[in-house]
Amino acid sequence: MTEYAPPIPETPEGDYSISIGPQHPTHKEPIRFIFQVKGETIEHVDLRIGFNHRGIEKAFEQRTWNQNLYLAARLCGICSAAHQFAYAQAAERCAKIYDEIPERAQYIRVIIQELERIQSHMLWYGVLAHDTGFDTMFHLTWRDREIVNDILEIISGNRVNYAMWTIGGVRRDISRDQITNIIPKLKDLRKKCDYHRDVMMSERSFIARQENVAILSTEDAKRFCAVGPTARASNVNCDVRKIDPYCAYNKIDFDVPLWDQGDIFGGLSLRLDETLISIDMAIQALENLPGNPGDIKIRVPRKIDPNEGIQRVEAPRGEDIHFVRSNGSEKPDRHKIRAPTFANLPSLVHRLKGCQVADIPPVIRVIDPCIGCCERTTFVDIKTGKSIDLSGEHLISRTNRAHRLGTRVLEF
Amino acid sequence: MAKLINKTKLVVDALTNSPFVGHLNCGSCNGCDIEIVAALTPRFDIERFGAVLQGTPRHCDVLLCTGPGTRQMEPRIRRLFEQMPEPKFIVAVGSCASTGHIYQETYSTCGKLDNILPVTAYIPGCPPRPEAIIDGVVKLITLARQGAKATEEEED
Amino acid sequence: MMLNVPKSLDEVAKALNLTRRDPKIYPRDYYVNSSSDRMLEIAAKLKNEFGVHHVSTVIVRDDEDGFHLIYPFSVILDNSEWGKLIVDFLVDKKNPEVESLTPEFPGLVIAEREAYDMMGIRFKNHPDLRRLLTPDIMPSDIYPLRKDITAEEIRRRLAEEAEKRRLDLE
Repeated sequence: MTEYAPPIPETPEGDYSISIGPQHPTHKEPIRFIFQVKGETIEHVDLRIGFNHRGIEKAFEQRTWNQNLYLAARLCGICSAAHQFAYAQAAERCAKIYDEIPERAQYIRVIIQELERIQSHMLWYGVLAHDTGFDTMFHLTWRDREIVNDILEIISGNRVNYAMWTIGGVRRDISRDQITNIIPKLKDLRKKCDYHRDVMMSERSFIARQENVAILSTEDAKRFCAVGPTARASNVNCDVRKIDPYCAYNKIDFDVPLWDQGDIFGGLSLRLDETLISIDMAIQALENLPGNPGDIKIRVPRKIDPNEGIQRVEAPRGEDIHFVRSNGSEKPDRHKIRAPTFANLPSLVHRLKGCQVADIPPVIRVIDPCIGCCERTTFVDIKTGKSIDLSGEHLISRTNRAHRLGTRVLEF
Repeated sequence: MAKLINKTKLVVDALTNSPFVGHLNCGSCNGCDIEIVAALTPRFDIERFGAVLQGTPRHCDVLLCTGPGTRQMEPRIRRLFEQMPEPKFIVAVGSCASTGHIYQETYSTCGKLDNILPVTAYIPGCPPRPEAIIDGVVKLITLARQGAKATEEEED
Repeated sequence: MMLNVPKSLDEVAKALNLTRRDPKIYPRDYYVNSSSDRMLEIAAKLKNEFGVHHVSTVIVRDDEDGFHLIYPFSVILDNSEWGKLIVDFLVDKKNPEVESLTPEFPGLVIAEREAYDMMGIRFKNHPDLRRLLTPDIMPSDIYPLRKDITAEEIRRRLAEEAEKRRLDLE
């Protein structure tokens, strides 16, 4: 056995150990936790990630700056826009054109970001309700979540991977007709989210599962570099939209909710508030969309001079940071991605200690784990040596073929 | 279809009237996974066709697999497949599972799901819409029914 | 000790005796170069004097002159914005061994494991230096993101290794 054997402590700290994962009804994604348990209390936690690691970085080797945009969108299916956005902005900083992006494009970027945050938060609290045995709420939130997906489909043409960004702006404009179509839907959604908030904040048994469970103190949140709603539920104001503003966020009026308890209920109430605020922000940005229709992108040179660019954005799960380095060619020299889930794992391991076994599913859920982003994302790295025949044309023809065939069932 | 031949009519009826569906993430990006969950929830509601979501592959007739299959998951995927009761069907959901998509030449994947499991149906799309997933499952059920009927007639 | 709330990143860099190297276009991005022997000193000073608690990640870059370890430290400025002090430590390619910053910033524990896994940077005094993301069957001499190995090569080695394991099981 090599030195990378799954990490099971040699001297058990508890009575017995429970291994959960990689495939388990609690997990929607493969990740393995090993709990050392004393009675019902967790004494020690070890985790093995990497089940989703597919080395995307080496696939980037033959890609140009623009082709990489579509890979960046496939880092994660839930926060695809955030990753693509961070990559596009890092590349813009690298090419020194970041300040020249048209204002209309910046507003459209805000709209898509906020719509994505709404759908991601709704997804999260629906699944949390499912994990705590409140299935009615799960179905209600997922029914209403379809409204956001519809809006995103109106704007971008797709429900999940929007592919709205390009280096130097956005790819699609939002027309006046679309705005008049979308705003009533958002107002309708706001009423429904208000209702979700009322139900969730008043259901005693649901709250009892969450209050004072897995508390993360402010000091610990800072010590373990927690990000996003996880840290804000522990009263760390780390919203990148405020502390390191990007695109049009400094022109839009919004509040950042904070919570000081650091328990699961804090995370829930914070995300419910954020959903409502994001709906307001999206309406505000849609109503004040500046500039002329069509003025949504600037031309970018195919080659970028040697330079480095770093950009963080507030993804639904927290700070998402991308770093790119160019070497003067058509392809990036290095691309490093740090997904928000990755930053929240140390604090998750810390707060699982001392919890009850029955609380494991909601506690894991509280950081909104997205193992897909966390593990496929590492570095992107360009070599001069030719190694892969994976050109854009090849992929496009393959995809087109698959779509032409439609759903296909093999003959028995 | 060969595996269906030895089964009684009751098993075939149970399978095709109410397939128990499971979901296995073989290294996907969550895009297909949330569309599978969306297919189960009220707007699309795959339960109209009798399909019920199960937590573990040991209870499943149809396993919806997403993702290209990573090297780390490969032995686990095989083991989970062995745990499924007969007759069993694998559906590859999404372009990654069907063809490898953008991951076919990356170093730590197996290329596509075909390289690990015998896949019965392919649902392309990145990600496929919930309607496509429902369509795939329904087509699979229809074909299973037809196959069983043909076998029956042969035996008669 | 009283924490020093800096007015600008220039002030921080001056206190650390570092000079800016980027073209000064973006006020909250501040790139500086340093060498790996100053890592502990810089980290301790940032933490104790300027109250830095957030380090986003560890970026490793394989270049001809060596490995570049890049730490983006978030410095809280007096207008409550967070500036990024991006410190680039140069590490020798032949012996990539550096001091771990995990004792100072426990949040870096898995970021440094990732750097070890992907690039083979060994961190001294790291509490738990194991590989993190690569499969169990990854041969111990392969660090996938180094420039001296191609994806094809890694793929071939992994396939061989997986086949061997399967035969062993049967």
